[in-house]
Amino acid sequence: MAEALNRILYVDDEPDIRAIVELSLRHVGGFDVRMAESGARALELLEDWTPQLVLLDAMMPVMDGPATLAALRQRPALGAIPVAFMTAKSQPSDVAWFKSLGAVGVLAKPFDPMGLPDTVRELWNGIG
Amino acid sequence: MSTDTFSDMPSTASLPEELLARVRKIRQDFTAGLPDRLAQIRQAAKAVTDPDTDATQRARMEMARMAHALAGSGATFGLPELTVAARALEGVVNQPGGIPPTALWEAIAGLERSVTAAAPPAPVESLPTAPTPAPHGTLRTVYLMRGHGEEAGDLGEILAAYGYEMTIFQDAAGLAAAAGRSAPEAVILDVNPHDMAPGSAQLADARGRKIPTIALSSATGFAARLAAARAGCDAYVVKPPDANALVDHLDRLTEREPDQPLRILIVDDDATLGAYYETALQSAGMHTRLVTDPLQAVEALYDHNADLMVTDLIMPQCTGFELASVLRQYDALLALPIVFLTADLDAETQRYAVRTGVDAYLTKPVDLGDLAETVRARARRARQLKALMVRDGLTGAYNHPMIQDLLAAEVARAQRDGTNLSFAMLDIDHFKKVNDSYGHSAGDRVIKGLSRLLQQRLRRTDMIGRYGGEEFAVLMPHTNAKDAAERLDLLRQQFSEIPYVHGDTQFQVTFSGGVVGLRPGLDAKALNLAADAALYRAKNAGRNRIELG
Repeated sequence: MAEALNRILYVDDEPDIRAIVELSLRHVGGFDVRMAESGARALELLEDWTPQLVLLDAMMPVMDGPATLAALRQRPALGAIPVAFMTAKSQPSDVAWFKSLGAVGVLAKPFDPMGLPDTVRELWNGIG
Repeated sequence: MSTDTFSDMPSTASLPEELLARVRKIRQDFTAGLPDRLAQIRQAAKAVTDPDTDATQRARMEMARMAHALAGSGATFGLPELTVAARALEGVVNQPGGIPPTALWEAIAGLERSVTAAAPPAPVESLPTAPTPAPHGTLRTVYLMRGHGEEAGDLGEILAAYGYEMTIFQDAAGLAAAAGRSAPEAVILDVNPHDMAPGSAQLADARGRKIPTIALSSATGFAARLAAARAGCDAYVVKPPDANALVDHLDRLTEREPDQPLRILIVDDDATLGAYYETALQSAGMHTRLVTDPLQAVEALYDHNADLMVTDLIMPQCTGFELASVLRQYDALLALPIVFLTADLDAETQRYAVRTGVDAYLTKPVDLGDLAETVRARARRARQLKALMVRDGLTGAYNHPMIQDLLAAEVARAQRDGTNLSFAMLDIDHFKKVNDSYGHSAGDRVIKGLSRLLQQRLRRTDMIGRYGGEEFAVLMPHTNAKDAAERLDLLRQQFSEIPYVHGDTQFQVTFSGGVVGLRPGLDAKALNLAADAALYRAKNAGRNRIELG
């Protein structure tokens, strides 16, 4: 994609992880990143803000990552936003399954907070 | 043993110190939460090895989820051993068929080891903690030390009526030994002040917190008071003690947290920092809400019913000062205390802050202890001020207009929900005689005494108002008239037994009451009149009784 990556939505139910991801992507990576603590909250946020990339924690209570992705795809306006999963399940078979759901990529947890911005940029450049 | 992985990493060397500090703090928060998570895992493990039931399955899934979450976060926070141990546990839980208990507990032990290595308890301990609120209805302990030939009399019974449980000790050694085992909320020293060595009344509990002390003495002179003050006593009560004066001191010195947690709104465009402040205030027992967009502050203030707002100064949408100016346009927010967080504070900024009605500033990086203390003190004062507007100055009960409003609201609610509601009017008997014989200050003490008894002995959901003079109104939701009358009759009895001291004389006071339950067809006004009529019947029937209307 020609456009440089700037706006990222990160969805995760764990506050500690949200805090470190925000610090990593905003302060280290310089992205305009917003946080949601649940799939439902993410859908709410997306009503008046369109990120270029959505990062979804795969395992969340109530509405997990795949369910959030499915809900997102049902909205015409949001259908085209690339979505990647962040997950501690990153065996090749898991990755294949996540991709079959329509994810553009899978980022492994745990991650190095200092390296995360680069990983995300690599993923973004790979999409194009 | 874990080290500070972030500062060890070459890539972090170029990070500004401020960011590094934040990373450390987030990591601290994470490690501080680990013991709790571990406890939850242990809890689930107990259920998992039970015979196979739905609950077992749920516990198993729950444990898998928790282990998975830890595996996915450990190394991110610089704890790779935690990730390894959590993965091992996840593997044990996710294997098909039953879980072998030995493997399960071994995996949990491994997890525990990695957590113990990672989590120094210090960061949690250093956060300000809320005093443990005494559960409603339990007595607060008070130790009394009695010198030779002194008599405690019925002080214990009187204090019990006000929610204090008194234990008597004959000497300092016994008291000190007991206080070491379980610290009381206050100590009363019934000892000749001239026998107290300077500093001898300065007591502390096991954690080094001061235990308040009250000197009880028959000496009224300056010298005795000075000796008590030098010994370290916090209050001085002349014998024989007036129960109200003593309880006033005890209440003040053992001040309890307000029944409802303080509610704080935090406005910071940086969600990381905001969440960090939230953690600190929550550890201090407050309820918090965070908005990262100042434009949402007004709505959140109303929605959260906030007692105080903490705001960052520099935000992209508008500055904290601008936000404060906007808030002052709302009548209901005129008195809202605002605490500012700012990186540097020059004189001009300070003047500007005063003009826009800012109550306090804290300089970044914010010390969490300072934040909690500043916020707590100001929020509490704001709540007290709010209370003044609806409460009677002498007793702290709701004032007449407020209790009328509450009556109307409760009647409407009870009618809508079809629930019980009782309303009572109480009036102190022969109050004029008390004033005439002992003076107005004695009269005031009696009024306060009744109010305090009502406030301590009725439920939290009951509402007490001072109608004026010596007359009180009590609203008891979800209570039928018969139960309400029984409850109030018990209080009537207790009140009549409280001795009031005036100079050398002692007197007792009684009250009468009229109670009426909400019935179909009655409105707030009719309820009020019916309770008044019942009160009159109680007075005419000889006083010191409760009549049902």
